[in-house]
Amino acid sequence: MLASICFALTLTSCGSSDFTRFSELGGLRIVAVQVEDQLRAGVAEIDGNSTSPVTMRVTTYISDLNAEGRGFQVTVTGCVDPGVSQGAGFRCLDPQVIAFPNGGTFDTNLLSATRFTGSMTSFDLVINNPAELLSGRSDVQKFNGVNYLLNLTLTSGEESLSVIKSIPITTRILRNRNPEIDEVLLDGNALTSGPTTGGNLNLRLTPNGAAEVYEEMAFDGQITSQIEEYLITWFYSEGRVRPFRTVETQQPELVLRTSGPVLLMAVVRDRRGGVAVRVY
Amino acid sequence: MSSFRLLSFFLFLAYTPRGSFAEAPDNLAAVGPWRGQVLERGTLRPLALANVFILPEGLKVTTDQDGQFSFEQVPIETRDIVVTLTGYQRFKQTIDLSKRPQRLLLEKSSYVAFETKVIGRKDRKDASKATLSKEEFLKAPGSFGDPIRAVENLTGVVQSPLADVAIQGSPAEDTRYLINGHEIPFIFHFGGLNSVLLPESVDSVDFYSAGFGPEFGRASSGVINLVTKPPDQYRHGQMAFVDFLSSGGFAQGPASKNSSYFVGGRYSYAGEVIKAVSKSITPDDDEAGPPTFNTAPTYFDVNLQYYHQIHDKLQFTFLGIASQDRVDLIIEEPGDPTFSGGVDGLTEFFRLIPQLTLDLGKDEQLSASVGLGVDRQRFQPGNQSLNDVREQVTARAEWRKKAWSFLETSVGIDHLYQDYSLDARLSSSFFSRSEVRVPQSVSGLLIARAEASDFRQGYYWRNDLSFGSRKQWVFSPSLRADHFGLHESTQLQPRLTLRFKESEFASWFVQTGIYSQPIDPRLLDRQLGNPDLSPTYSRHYALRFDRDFRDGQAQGWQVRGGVFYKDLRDIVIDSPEFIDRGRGLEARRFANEGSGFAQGAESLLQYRTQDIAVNLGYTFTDSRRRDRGGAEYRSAQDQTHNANLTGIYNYKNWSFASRFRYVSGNPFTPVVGGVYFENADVYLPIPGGRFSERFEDFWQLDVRVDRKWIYDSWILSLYVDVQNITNKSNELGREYSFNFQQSGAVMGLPILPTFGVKGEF
Repeated sequence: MLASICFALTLTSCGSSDFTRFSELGGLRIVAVQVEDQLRAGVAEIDGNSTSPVTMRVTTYISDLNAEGRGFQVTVTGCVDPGVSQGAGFRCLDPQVIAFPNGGTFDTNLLSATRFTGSMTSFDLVINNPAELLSGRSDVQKFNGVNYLLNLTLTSGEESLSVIKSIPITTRILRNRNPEIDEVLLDGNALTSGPTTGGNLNLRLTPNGAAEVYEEMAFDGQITSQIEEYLITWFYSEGRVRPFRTVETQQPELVLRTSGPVLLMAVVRDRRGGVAVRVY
Repeated sequence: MSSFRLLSFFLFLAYTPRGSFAEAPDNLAAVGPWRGQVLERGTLRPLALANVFILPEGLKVTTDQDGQFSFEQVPIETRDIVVTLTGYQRFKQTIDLSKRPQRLLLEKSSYVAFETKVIGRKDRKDASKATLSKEEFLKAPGSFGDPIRAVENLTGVVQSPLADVAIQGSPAEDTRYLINGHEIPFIFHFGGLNSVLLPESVDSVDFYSAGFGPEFGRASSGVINLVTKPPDQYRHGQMAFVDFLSSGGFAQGPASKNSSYFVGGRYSYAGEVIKAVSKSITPDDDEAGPPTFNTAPTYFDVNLQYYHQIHDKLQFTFLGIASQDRVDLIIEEPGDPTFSGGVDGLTEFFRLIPQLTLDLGKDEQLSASVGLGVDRQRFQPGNQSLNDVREQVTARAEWRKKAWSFLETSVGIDHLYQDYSLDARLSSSFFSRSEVRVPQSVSGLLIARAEASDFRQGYYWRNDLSFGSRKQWVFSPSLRADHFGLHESTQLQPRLTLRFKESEFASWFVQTGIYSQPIDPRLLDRQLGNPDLSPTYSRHYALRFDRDFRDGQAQGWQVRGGVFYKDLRDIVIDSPEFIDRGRGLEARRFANEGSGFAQGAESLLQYRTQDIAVNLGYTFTDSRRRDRGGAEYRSAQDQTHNANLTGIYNYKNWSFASRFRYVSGNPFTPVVGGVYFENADVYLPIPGGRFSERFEDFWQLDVRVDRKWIYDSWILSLYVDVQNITNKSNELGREYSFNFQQSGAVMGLPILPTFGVKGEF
C-alpha cells in the first residue's frame, strides 16, 4: 500500500536516495532570480496599468562549485506565458531578445572568493507597453496577473542550463514586493559566515518585516485578502539540511559530520514571484 | 455426484423392507410420532429432499423445504437413524426417539467444492456481459476475496496500479461504477486493495464491455455493476473476520416470516500498520525520511439490507451503504513545494436504495428503485484545497414483457439528479490531462466556487426479436436517449445486437452501438475548466462467440472470445489557448480535440469440475490517440498482451488457488530533461515522445490457501493469501531526480502475505 501511496502522490516523496539531492551544491545551478521595478524599489511585479516602458532589474544567483571558475555565454529571451501550466511548451513563438551585459558573457571567477556562488551581473528587462500585453484579457486575469516568462540560458561548452522566471503583469495597485532577510540563526546565534563546526544544529531564518497581505480576485469578481507564506529553501555544500524546504516558523536541522567551512545559502520565496537570497 | 445417487439408491434397497415402508409395525408396545429437522452442519441451513431412515424397521420420510420431517408412528425407543442427501456425508447415529424434537446435522462432502451449475442452458442475451458469482470472486487468487479485484482476472480489463478499472484500451474514467444499477462515485477504497462493499454482501459482479446494451449509459467504455445478495431468509447467521488489513463482520437472518435483514461493516487498519512502519524507519543522514502520518490511511464501510416479500408477486428490498476513506500525510521533503505541509484527504459517500419488483404475470415484470445519497470529497494538498459535495438522487425503472413468443421488449429510465457544490483553491494545472504533469506549484492558484444542478436523464427501449425455424436468430434493436443537463445536450444512442444460436450451447454475437458520456462538472467549471466542453462519444463494434463444450453437464470445457473495435471521439485534452467568452480573454484549459480508437481480441478458456476450476484469459489490445488531428500515438492503456491463468483445486475442506498474470509493459512518456522554474523552485519536465517507451513487462504469481473447520453450528475458516510470491520487482512507474537528469524505476508491491481467520455462525 505504501507503494500505492507513493504512486498516488505522483512520486513526490518516495524518490530514490541514489539521486543527487535538490539542495546540495556542487554542479552548475541557478538558485534564484530576483526582479525589481527600477521605479519602485522592492516591487517584483510589472505595472500592468502603465502604457509607458517599465524597466525591471534582473539579478540571477548561481552556484558552480565543482568547475572552480569558468566562462559562460548568456542568452535571455522573454514572452507572455503561452500556457505552460496547461501543457504548452516553453518556447516563445515571437520572443523578445533581452541584452545581457559584457556581450552576453559571464565568468564565475567574478563571484565571491573561491566559492563560485553568488549573483551574476544584473541586467534590465524593459517592457515597452505593459498595458498592451493585458489587452483583451479578462478582469480576473488582469487583476491576478498575466505572467511574463523570462528565459535565461547559461552555456559553457556542451553544458547548458536554463531557468524560467515568471513575472506577473498586474493591474492591482497593491503590488508584490520582494521579501527581505533580517538574519539567519544557527543554534540561536546570528550567522556571519558559513558554519564551521560539526554536529546537529538548528537553523532559523528571520525575515525583515511581516508577511504581506495581498488580494486575489475570484472568478465572480469577488476580491479576497490573503497573507503571504514564505517558503525557504536551504542549500549547502557539505552535510545535510533536513528538511531542506521550510516555512518561516520551521527550524530545520543542519547535520554536519565534518568540521570545516560550509557554504550555506538561504532563499526565501513569497510564492508570488518575490525572492530574497543570503549566502554564507 | 453420481456416486452419491448410487449410494442413496443402495441405501434405499438395503433398508427398505418389502411393501410399504411408511407404515409403523403393529407389534411395537410404545409407538408415537417423531419429528425433527435436517440441517447443514456448520451453517444450520435447512436441507430439503433429504431421506431420513429409521433402522432396522426401514421407515423413511423425506424432508420438506424447511428441512422438517415427521414420522407418525414409530417405536419410542433407541433406534439407528440414517440420513442421506446428495452432496452430503451419510449421517448415521443411534438416537433415543423419546427425546424430541430432533435436529439432525448433515456435513457436506466438501465445504469448498464448486456448486454444481449447468451453464449454457440459460439464454445469454448479452455477450458483452461477464458475471462473477460470489463463489468465484471469494476464491479468486490474488484478489483478497474482493469482487472488483477479481474482475482483473477477466478478459478486457486493463491491468493498472491505480484504484480503478479500465476496460479494453479506454481510460478508467470511461468506466461507470454501479451498485444495484445506481451510480456510486468510486469503487475502491484507498490504495485499491478492497472495493467499497463487503464481499459477503455481494451476490455477483457484472462486467459490461464493448457493445453493451441500452440499460446502461453515461459511460463510453463499460460498466461494473455490483449486485447485492438478498439476506438469508431461513436462519440467523453471523460472520466475523480478522486479517492483516482489516476486520469486520455481518449479521443476517429472518426479520419476520416474509422478511430478512443484513447488517455488515468493515474497518481497515492497514494504514496504522504503514504508520507504525514509517515511524520505525529512521533515515540516515543522507536519506529523506518516509512520509509520516497525522492520520493513517483508514477506511470503513457499512452496509444494511432489508428484504420483504410483500406478497408472492411483490418484493421490496432496501440497501444502505456508506463508505469513508481518510488520510492525513506529512511529507518531509516534497519534490513539489505545493505539497509542503502534507496532504489531507477525505472521500465519503452514502446511498439509500429502496427497490420494488412486481411480477405482473408469467412474462411481465416491473421494477423500480431510487438511490439517495451524498458524495463528499475533501482534498488539501499543501496550500491548495478542494471541497466537492454532491447530493444525488438516482432513479431506475424498467417494465419488461414478453409480448409474443418471438418478441420480448423492455423500456426503462435511468436518471441522475445532483446538486453540486464546489469550493476550491487549486493550481490551474490540478486537473491537467497531460501524462507528464507540470509541478502544481508552477501554476497560479485559482479560486472557484460553484453551485449547480445537473439533471441527467436516460431513457431506453430494448427489443429481442427471435426468428428462424428454431428461433436461432435473435435480433435486438435498441435505443437509448440521454439528456445531459449541464451540457444542455441530448444524445440518441442506437444499439444493436444480432445473435445466432448455432446450438443450445454455441452462439455468435454481433454488437454495435453509440455511447456518450458527460463530462465531470469540475471540468465544466468556468474557472477550473471549460464550460463549452461536449460529452465524449464512442462507437463500439464487437463480434463474439461462445461455445460450451459441456453440453449441459457440470464438467468440461467452455470457450468464449471475440474481437472489438471502439471509435473514440471528442476526447478531452489540455488546451493552452486563450478564448474570449464575452469577459475578455481567459484560459480555455480543456477542449474536445482528442480522438482515437481501441481495438483488440480476447478469449477465455475455462475448464471446470466440481473440484477444479481453471481459467485462461487472454486479451490483445491496440489503443491509439490523436490530438487535434496530429500524429497518432499509443494510449496509456495500450497493453498489447494481457494474460491471466488462474486455477483452483478443492480437496475436502481445503482450497488451493493460484493466479499467474503476464502483461505487456504500459506505455509511458519519458522525460528527457528539465528547465528550472525559479518562482516555484522546481524543474519543469521536458517530455520526450508521447508514450514512446514502455515499462518492463509485468508478471506476477499469487497463491491462496483456504481451510475450513466445520463445527455443529459454525464454521471456522483460515486463509493465507500471498501476492507476488516470487517477489518479482515489477516496474509501475518512472521517477526522476529533481532536475530530471537521473531516472529510476518505481516498483510495485513486493511479496505481500496476508492471512486471516473468519468465523461463520
